[in-house]
Amino acid sequence: MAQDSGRDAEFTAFVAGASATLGRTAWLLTGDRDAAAELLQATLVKTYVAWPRVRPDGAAAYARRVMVNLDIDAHRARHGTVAMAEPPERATADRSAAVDERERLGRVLATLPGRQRRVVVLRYLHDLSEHDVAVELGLPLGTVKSSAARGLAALRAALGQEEESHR
Amino acid sequence: MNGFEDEVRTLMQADPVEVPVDLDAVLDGGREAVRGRRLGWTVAGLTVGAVVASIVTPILIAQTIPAVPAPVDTPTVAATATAAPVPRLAGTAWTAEEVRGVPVATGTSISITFEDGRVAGGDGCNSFGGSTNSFTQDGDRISLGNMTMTLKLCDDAVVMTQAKAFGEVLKATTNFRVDDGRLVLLDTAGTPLATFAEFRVDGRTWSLDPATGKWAGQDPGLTLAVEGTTVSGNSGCGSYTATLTREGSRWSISNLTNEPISCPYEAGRRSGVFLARLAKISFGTALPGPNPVLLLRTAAGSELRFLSR
Repeated sequence: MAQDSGRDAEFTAFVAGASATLGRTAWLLTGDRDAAAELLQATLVKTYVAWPRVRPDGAAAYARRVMVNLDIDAHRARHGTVAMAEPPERATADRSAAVDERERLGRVLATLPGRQRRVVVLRYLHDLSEHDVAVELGLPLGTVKSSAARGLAALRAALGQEEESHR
Repeated sequence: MNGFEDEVRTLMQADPVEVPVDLDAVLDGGREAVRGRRLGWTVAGLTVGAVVASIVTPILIAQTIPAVPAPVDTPTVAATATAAPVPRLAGTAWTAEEVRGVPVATGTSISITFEDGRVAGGDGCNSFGGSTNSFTQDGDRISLGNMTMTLKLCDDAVVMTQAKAFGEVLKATTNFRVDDGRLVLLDTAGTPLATFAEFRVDGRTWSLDPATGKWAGQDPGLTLAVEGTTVSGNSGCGSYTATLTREGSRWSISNLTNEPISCPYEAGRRSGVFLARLAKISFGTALPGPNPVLLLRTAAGSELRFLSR
């Protein structure tokens, strides 16, 4: 029991430090607040189970891998694209221009095919190299490069269009 | 693209998005899963303890890979959606495209074959095989273990590096998924370890191996082709067709007919033996690789070994 309480304390500290990034990853992957919360919850449970093996240095990377793989499973189960729901509300009522930009990014990101979305999120939210993304997703390096390029091109085109329509 | 890449990076990283976490629910779910896992490992430990490492000759058994306990279920997103049906692996064969994110080198081959309760394959240098119960599947969870592997040294450093990585993959595999017809072996975290393309028996012409069995040293030109539920070919004395039933690695033949032609006595006798054996097969498996093999076996243990043309 003492062992469990030690694990719980360490794990709780990990959650406090990592949940913001993991939550942001979940939201960008799913495009939906409820789905993001569910994905985050499931990811943390799996990370808790693996805690003795992954703590503390490898925990964040482990949780990220679990999250991406759960997203792949969920995407396959849905057999379709993700419909963007309302983005999560911020704690503050004021909406800065940066928040609007981020929400636009989230809306457009949600329209990308699952693989492109995952590559873009790992590449630019988590700053992984193309090689590391390839290893993490089990994809050929060429596929990662082309997915990143296509994803960015789609984002640029869609964000540009939105900008035009707002003028 | 660099400026835009920076813009995307900044947008993604700059401003936190608040997604709620129910820490109590996470801890409760985690503790419950840990309790289940401890129970599962106790049972699986009996299997591991029963494994005896074998070292016989350089070309025989050299390495024993212990059974890997299947992970316990934990709540997943997929579990809350309508899950896609999980394919049954028994009766399938695969050739590796990537191992640990590295493409399999041109001119080399890594393969794995799943039979009912058994796994076999090759790592490009050595071949491995398991006894019965070396492979089990429960949904998307698989357990590979009780395998033995030949121990040949191969000169090619690339082949040896690949083989080592593949050996580690076999040890770490606990789950799988099939994406777009590709098999992906996964570890407990769901991390892809290796990706395979399916090796299909159908659509090939298989020739009876002239180097083995009853017809050693001869090439009687006996062939076999599989297309769904039909098997056909040259019996050495006319062409034959039959209905094939496959369930995993259990194969059976019915409605076997041969269109006879006039042929020498010896060819006719050989054809009769071949067809009689073919009619009795109860097992079929494919072993991919540089020289793919199709192995058919009767319940009495007689074999028909074919090579892919």
